[in-house]
Amino acid sequence: MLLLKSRLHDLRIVAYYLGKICIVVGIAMLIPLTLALFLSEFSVVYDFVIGFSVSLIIGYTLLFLYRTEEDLNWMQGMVTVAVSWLIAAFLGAIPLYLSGHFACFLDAFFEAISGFTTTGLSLTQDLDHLSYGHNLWRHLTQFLGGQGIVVFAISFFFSGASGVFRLYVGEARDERVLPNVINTARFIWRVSLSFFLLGSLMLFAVGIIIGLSPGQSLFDAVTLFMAAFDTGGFAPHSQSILYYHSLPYSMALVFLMVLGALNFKLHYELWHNNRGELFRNTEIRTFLSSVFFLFFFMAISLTAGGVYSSANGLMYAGFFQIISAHTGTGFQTISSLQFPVWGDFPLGILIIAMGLGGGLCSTTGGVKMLRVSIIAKALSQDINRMLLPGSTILVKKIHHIKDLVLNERMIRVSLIITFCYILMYIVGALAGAGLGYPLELAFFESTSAAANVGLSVGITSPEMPGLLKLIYIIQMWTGRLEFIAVFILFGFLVAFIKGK
Amino acid sequence: MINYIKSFFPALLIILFLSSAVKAAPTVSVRELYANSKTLDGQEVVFEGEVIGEVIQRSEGCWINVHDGTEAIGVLIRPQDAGLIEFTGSYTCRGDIVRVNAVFNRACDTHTGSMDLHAKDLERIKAGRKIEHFVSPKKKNAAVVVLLAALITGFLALYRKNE
Repeated sequence: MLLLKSRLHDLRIVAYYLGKICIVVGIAMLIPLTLALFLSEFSVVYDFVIGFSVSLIIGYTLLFLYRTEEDLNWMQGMVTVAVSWLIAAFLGAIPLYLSGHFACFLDAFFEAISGFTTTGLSLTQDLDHLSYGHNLWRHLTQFLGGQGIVVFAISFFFSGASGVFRLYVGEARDERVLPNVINTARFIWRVSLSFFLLGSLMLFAVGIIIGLSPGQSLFDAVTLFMAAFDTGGFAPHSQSILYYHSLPYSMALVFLMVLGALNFKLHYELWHNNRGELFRNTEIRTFLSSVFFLFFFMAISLTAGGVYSSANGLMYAGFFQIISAHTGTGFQTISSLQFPVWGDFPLGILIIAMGLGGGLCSTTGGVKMLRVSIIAKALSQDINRMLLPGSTILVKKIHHIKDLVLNERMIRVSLIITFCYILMYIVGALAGAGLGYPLELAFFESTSAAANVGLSVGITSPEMPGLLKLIYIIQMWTGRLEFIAVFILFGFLVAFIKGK
Repeated sequence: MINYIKSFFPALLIILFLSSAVKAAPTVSVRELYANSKTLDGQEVVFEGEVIGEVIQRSEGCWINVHDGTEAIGVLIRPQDAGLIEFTGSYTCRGDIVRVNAVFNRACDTHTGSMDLHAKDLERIKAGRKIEHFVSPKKKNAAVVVLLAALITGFLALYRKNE
């Protein structure tokens, strides 16, 4: 039985809010357009003029036709969020497609949704000859998507209606940092922009030290900061981080990736000098433990397999890839061709790291640390319960900003989301295997897409089947929104078609 | 004398054959390097491709990244060889095509531990060039039309809002 009831009226309200999102995406295109003008990339300017104008035409037409003062209800909010990400990717793909670096519009759409969902899988052809304007736009989609397109719109373009909270939740933000959701969204942007200045400056300085020219160092610092802090994974060069041949540069990026994987609630505590939280927080503890164990096994495996014999190699390739996978970033210090050479066991470790993800209410994808922690605690509670006398009352707590008593609802929600992710990883893997790729490689790529990571073993390429591109697009979109908004959208559409 | 020439001729042929074989030593691709990384580790190889990005100067030499058409690999070259490179591949330039004789390292312990080439010598076999980017009239016209349409819909939406 379908509980959702959708009417034409709902569609009109959704369309009105989508109009606002279109305008926001269009305005964002003015940034690469300005850079292209500054660098005299005139052909690129036209691409962004077209993208900007089409966004405004669609946006203003929707605002004109469906003007409303009505607030969003839960269903409308969720549907708006789910469709917003597809529309943003469609609009974001226009200047990319016009660049001539994509085989078809589907590839450009893939790139845009990969950017907005902070995945980082790329179908750009001849990336090393891509313009600065287009390259900046690729990275900017990650910066906007990392904070959340709707959070971005809420921060700067929405007034204080209660419907914005529904949009915020729909975008897979389970937690409010501040009581008011608009203030929360603005805080997220304040943190991101502050780190943007500091992080870019740090990368610029390291870039100069390792021998990059000032211009290249600045551009790479800005783009790589966006990709690292938003755990996106795009890079301005086809070799990703391997381009720089530098351990210090890669370690600076490790710092930024970990920073991006922290829960924004934790950022808020650190912002207000509550440094003790860093040591008590269950997400941090789970993350560090997981990184430690995974790297331990990775190091043993790579050394025993004769892949690396030096500490340099283990840090630059092994440790970096663990962090890149665990934070959902997807930067690579080795070529996609080299992953299969590592062997199945290290690939398995990376799949686990990708699947687990980083902090809740951060820019990472995957199951996420708080849920892993809750499930682990619940498991230990059940084991203890079996060992202790039946009359014993067991209370398990986790510390996340404050002490939280573990309850059935928390456990159920964590298990459902985890189950959905695992199912999606498997379905994508089977699809890849069905289309002719080796199962273990298909599983790696599927997990990378669904957990919004972006590491690739080489399956993602312009030559891969169109069906697989579509499957990865759905995985990236669903994984970023953590299922709920997408499920409600499908329910809404089915109910609408059935006329309920 | 004739006997002397007769005995010398096969040797001359062998020398000519060997020297031509050296000259036309097959180049390897990045894919081949990865696929045969264990057997080629520490071996001297010939690699060709376009220089992309920029020349990165370090204390140990200069790093360039060379793209063979499908993949790129880092090559450490001598500072004096860096002077041979005029164009590097970017949006505005097609980079020089270079050929390097280099030692292949599967996991270079002296640097980051990653796969790289240490060049013994570098030869520029084709000069790069500036790329001119022309805007097609179609694109220009489309941009003007959609920009005008965006302005009109913007005014209409604003009018409706103020109504």
